[in-house]
Amino acid sequence: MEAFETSKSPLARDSIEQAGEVMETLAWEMLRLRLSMLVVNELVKRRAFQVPIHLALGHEAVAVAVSMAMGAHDRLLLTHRNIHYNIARNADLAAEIAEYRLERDAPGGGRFGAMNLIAPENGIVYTSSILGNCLPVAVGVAKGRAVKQADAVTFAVTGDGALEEGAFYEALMMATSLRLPLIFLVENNDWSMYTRVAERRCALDLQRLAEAFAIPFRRLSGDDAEACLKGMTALRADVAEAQRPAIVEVTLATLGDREVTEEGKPPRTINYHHGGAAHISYEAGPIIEESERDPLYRLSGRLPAETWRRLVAEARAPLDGFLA
Amino acid sequence: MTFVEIINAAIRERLARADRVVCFGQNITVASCLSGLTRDLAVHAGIEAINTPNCENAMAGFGFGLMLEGVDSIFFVKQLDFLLLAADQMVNTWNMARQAGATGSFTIVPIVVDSGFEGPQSRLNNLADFCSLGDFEAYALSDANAAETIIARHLVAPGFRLLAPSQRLFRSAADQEAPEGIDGEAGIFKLASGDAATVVAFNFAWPQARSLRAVLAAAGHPADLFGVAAVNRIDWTAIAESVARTGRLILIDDSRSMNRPGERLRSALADRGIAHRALPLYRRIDRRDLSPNPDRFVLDEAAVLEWIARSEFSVTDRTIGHAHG
Repeated sequence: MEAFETSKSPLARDSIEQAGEVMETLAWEMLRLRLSMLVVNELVKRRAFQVPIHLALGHEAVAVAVSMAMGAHDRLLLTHRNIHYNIARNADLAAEIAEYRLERDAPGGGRFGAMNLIAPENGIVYTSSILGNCLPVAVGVAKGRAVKQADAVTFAVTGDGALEEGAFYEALMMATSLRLPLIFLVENNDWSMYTRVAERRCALDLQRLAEAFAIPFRRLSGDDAEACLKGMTALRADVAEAQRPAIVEVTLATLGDREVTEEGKPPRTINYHHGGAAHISYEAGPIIEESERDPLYRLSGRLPAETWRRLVAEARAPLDGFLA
Repeated sequence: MTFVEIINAAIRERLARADRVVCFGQNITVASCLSGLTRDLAVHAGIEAINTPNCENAMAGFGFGLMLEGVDSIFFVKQLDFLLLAADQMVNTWNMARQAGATGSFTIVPIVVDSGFEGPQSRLNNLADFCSLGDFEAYALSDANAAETIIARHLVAPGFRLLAPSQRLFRSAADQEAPEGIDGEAGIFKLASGDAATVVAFNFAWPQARSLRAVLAAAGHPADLFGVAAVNRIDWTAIAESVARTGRLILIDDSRSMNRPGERLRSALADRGIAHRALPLYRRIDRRDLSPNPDRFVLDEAAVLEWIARSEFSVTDRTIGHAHG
């Protein structure tokens, strides 16, 4: 197996040392993240939280890839659907749950809820539930890192819905004009709440948009954890070296969709948006769908079955207690 | 010196005392440098001046991003109404940044296009409407001495605020006398003393208030005169003490806002049980504002004199300001 460039982040480095090799580390991080979100899903179904929570089942590969690719001085800015990055960057699920419970002794003091949860100690300096809002802020953060000569790359995560906001283009133009090392990461799940891209707007070719700005573009498949990590690591290195922004579009599926019926209309499948994913359970996990849409399913096929079972058991062990 | 030259000098003086500030905005280092407001900002190597693209939302977000990183910045804007495009950042991002404990200083310096000839765009001639959305500090700059004090204290300081000069006053001669008492933290400046009444100027109505106070003094009715530069978080104590002594309050506000700080002052006086008569001189708001106009805010000084002289004459909600003269 081709060796990945290892991350500078303490979390990833420790995991690599424990696991002994990158693929197992990647699988372990994916499993930890998936199972942690399944725990949160169970708690949401039990109405354990008052704040709205947007799960990101199916988004694990990109979150783990970013977390492992991030350098020690890098910054990460997120949207309301941030749980996957926050958990990928924070091994303490109890702390995350305490934030969702708005507990004062949570690391963030329970002041941010879920949609605005930050973790500066993990490089997550800003999140916003306003579509596209975090992108201009990320330009300023990237400039701030440059002013401080921090040798850092800033990651700004957004979704395909935010491509419809002016903030996306303004931020792209400003970051390019100022030659800032900033990665615009678009998680494209094809949905904005309950409408598909094709139902609401014209097609948009991000690659050609990047060409118009004369900046690099990369498309990654969010169901392929190995490719995500490799691609994100290479892109981070490129942006850091060239000192200019880049766009990466990650196509993925948000798992947990459901069928709805309206009187007089045929049944319609709609995307999971927020709240509990009713038909998904921790017990049945970690794989949600035995299809290529599920990055965990795809990853499981790349490891020996015994290794996979061992990693699942190891990842489950510290989590079972949350649902006792 | 003109008013805008005074402000430019005060900004440069404050920047000279700062270690590192990122100044940015459209055309801030070229041509007229926003009518002279931003001329020669890079007073030392730590001051960076960036001419930006035309993207107000991104620029406001940029400032908050710098703030999150602890880097001080100033965003100069040619017209206050351009900031409407940045409202999301000024409200939502500021709410998040202060909750996150951002340590940097972020100041937006928009020019209030209140000369009237911009037509629809000069209708937004105040800061109060913005502040009501985001609960941030803001100071109207319409007096040279007060502007110097406000810029020295607030231009570069942790947090977020607006410091907005009036375009209408840019070319006016800055020859005002120094205020008697300065309360720069509270944003209230005492400009003159007297017992006949308490005259309080809001927004950019300080020249009209000075003129009225001179007329009153000439008629034997010297009044306390206050200029309120701050838009919110105002400590009314000094004005309340004055009103308690004079018994008459004259409020002068040239803004077209429905969020008038003068009304908050009246509530504060009511809360404190200070008996007084009030004469609010507010601008009439009408559709003529939507067309280019000379933006004259002319007070009926004779009517005010009559109000002062006739002790039995009580007016509490009379509006006698004029938008067009």
